[in-house]
Amino acid sequence: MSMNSEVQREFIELLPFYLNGTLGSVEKTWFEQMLQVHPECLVYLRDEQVVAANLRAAVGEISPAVSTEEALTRARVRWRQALSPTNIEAVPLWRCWVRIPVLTFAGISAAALIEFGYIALSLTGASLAPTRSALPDCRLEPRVQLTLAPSGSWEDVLLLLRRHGLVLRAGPNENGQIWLAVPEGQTSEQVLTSVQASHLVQMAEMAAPKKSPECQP
Amino acid sequence: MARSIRTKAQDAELLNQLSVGNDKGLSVLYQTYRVSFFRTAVFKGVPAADAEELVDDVFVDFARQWQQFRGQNGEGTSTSLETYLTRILYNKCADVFRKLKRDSTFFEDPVYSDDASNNGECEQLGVDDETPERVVARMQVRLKLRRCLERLPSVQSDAYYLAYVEDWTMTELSELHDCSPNTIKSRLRIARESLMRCMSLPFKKGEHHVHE
Repeated sequence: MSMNSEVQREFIELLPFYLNGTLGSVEKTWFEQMLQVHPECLVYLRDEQVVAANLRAAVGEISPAVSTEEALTRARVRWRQALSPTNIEAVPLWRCWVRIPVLTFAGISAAALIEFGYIALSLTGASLAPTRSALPDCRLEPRVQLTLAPSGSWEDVLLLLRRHGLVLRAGPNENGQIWLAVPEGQTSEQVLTSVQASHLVQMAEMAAPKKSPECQP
Repeated sequence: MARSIRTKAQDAELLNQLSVGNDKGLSVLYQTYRVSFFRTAVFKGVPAADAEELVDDVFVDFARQWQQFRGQNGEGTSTSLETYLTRILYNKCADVFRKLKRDSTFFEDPVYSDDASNNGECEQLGVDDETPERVVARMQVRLKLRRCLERLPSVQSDAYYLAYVEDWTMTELSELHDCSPNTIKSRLRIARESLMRCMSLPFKKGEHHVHE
């Protein structure tokens, strides 16, 4: 009795599971009947047994270099880490703080201290001398006003100012008036006394104090 | 290479142990499957030097994501633990291949090299009643078998390997490959036909003979 192709196909498909012993009882009975009835099935089976035996033998030669006991000791260390409940979500808050680098803390603290110090100095009105020395002196400076004699030349007037250390701040205008800054270390009265003696000056009087030109907006 | 079959109750017990941080069950699992997983990885083409670490990684991954396995089973998919672990193993093998940018190189591995066969296998097979010619012939058959298996698509060779070497059932294979039992049966049949065809061909030029 010859096998039809469907039966042959079914037989071949069940071969691996018959050989590995996992075939269900009904299928196994059918399979064994086929073996008895069709001699060519035995050929398939023997071929497959040879292949399976060779495959098992080839795979059986493969074995890890490290023994299972040794590998187990190593693996358990890794499992404990994996099974440990301390993951990143469960880390206590204080541990997070410890993890922040000390240098970052130091930097933040230093910046905060400098900022607070500056604010405190500003509030108390203490002099920030190093900062202010770079700026011009913007206090009001005492001034005197001179009315020049019409007969005098401008060169003689400049010589007079240089001699007394006076600084020209404004003028001359059409009336021959000039305004002078009183130099440091002298008073307005002293300046007036010294310049009134000159024949170049018709009249000398005190003027309203003003800021130096560097401080003008 | 008798296969150790775990029951659902054993798997459940292991999960209970893991839930309280006890790795005793995991040790048993490791001892049961380590060598078999190592062989599977090497068979698939992972270099033997990497395969040991890869197998360890499978269990570490499971230790991290065992809740996921329990979750899956709770939803009605009764995947066995062995199937689940094998799936992790296969994914890890695929990662290794991606990293190495190559396909399976089962025969390039030192474990399977001709030299290794000559050095180790001859001694192992050199029993008293065997002639050197028979030993050589058998080695040639195995080498040919390995070469022919390498040429099969991975879905076929994986199913073939697990059915013949690890004694997996049709249902387990269909669970692993996420397909019907009929698909598994036809894959195995096609794999067998390709293998037989390949085995019947003589060694081609350029292929290694054991004593070339």
